[in-house]
Amino acid sequence: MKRFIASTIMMLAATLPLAAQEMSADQILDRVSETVEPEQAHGKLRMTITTSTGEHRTFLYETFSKGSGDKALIKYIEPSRVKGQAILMLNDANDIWTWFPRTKRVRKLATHAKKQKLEGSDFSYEDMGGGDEFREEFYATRLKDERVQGRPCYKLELVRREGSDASYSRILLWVDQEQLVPLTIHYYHDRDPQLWEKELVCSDVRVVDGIPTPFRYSMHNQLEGTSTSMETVEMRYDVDLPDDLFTELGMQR
Amino acid sequence: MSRAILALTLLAVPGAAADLDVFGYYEPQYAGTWAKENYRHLMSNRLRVDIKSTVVENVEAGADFVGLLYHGTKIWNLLDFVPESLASTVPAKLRPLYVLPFADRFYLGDAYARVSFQRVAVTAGKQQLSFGTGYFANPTDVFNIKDAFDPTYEQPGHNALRLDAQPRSRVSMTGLLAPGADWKSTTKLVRAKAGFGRFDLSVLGAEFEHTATDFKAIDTLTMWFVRTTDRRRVLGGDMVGQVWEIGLWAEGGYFMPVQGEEYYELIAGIDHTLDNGLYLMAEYHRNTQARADWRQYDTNDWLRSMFGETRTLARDQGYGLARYQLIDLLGIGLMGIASINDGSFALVPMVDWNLFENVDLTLMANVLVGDEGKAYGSTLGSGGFLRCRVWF
Repeated sequence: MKRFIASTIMMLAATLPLAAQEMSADQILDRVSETVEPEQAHGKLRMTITTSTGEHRTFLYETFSKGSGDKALIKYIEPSRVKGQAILMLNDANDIWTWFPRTKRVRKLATHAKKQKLEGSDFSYEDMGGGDEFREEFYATRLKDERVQGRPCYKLELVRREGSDASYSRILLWVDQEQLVPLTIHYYHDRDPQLWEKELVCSDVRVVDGIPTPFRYSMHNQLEGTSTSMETVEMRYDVDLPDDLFTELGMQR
Repeated sequence: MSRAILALTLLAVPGAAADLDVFGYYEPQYAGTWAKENYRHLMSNRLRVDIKSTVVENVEAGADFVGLLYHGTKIWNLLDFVPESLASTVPAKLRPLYVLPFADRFYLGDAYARVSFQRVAVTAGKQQLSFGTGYFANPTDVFNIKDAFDPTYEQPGHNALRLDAQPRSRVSMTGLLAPGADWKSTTKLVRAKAGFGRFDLSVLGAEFEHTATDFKAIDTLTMWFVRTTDRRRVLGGDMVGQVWEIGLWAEGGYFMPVQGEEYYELIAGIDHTLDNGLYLMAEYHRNTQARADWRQYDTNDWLRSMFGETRTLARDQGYGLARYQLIDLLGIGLMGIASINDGSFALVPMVDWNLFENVDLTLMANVLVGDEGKAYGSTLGSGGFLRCRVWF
């Protein structure tokens, strides 16, 4: 699951138009999976949280990822109260460290912290981290094709496998048939597959370094009435990020 | 002081220096406490201005300037926070020495330069130093002693030369020198850290100078309390990781004073976040330098604990923390701090509210539950603070 959101945010991509309209759910998922994990990415994103009372909080941060999402680093640029803070995620976000520049302290978070909201947004640490467990965590079924944002989409239903530690019990996603970019994703509650918890809408798809990339994302929490939007300010995939960036020292630079 | 402000102002002028960043916060705070049937309050206004510049690639210079103004009860008598049975034994002529004035302060909190290469970084100057995985206390941190009632508040900077190396992704080494008057009194520290599976482990060795005040003896030369310094060595380490979805950490050190008795300190903790977002944490802290029997606490024990010369008053402490994001921008929490040896404890409810963008409010109260003379008894008084922090 986590791979899916992270990949969507960081680097949604597609390579070839699908020729075979009758692909199975697993085949579609494989194609999406093949394309949403660029080896490296470096970008800048603006996240705006809208609270249930209509207040807004905006964050600007820089993201780095390598190894198809295996390593990810987030560095906050704005606002002042979080400026310089960094989050390092290794092993598909199974290992998380945070860096607080004012106290010069590195803190390792346990897995359970992945469920916590990232700076109060509708994205959790887990959502933001990379990962490659998508196919391993869910069974996929193809449903009847539908149009989303005026574009023909494959509709897939993903049901969590037994023993999986994914945070959502069920996922519905609509994948653009031409670009293989998921345009809408519905997440269902951890314990109730019928309880719709979040909706992620991806839009403004542009091609960056040959990879179709949504420049706008909107995550709406159906249960809490809050929403978080993200705007891609910059994104590049043809980068060569050094391994030492994804270390405790790298967080501090 | 005015020169420092002028310098900061000039540096902040666009074009005065390349890639210069100026930021910081203004923090007014109101704190009050009710002890021995008296209410005392202290207001403070704290301004911190940070500057940071990447002089050339890989070279960073940073500093922060702090101005701190006090209002309200600016003169506190420490004997008001010591059990009456001990305070009453202090001769009248010595009582003025126990007065602690809160004087306005202006100082450089940090001022350092950092040179970093791919896997090595050297930091020289006054800098933040923090070690250890404990939340409420860090036995291996020979530079700072946390306030258990406000454990995440920033610590003062320390003059040091620090070398960090990261030869592999999850392997790091630190060497540190904090100059004293001579080589003998210089703090030397080495630390090695490595990741194993879901755990990070570190070992640490240090030699440092420790100063203790004898609050019962007067130095006729300075007309203040007698202060003695000794050298200590510590061997210790820490770990952090998880088993299933339970976070685990531990940190400890075995201290070997050149003169005096050896002792050890250990803290171990667990935490977990429930599905509903409730964060729960507990820590146990043992400090064998402190006394196990509360009836033996003397004036020095109390005041050294207050002045941060010892980490705890009681030998065994338990800490607990529960936190919950009540609504979008407002979190509530409850800390519990207990002396296991004497059964006294403090409850610390708190509220964090992100009032506006870059404006945080923190309300914290402390209610002490215990008989006079116990570590968290009525002697210390109950109270709390309201803190606003405006970031820029």
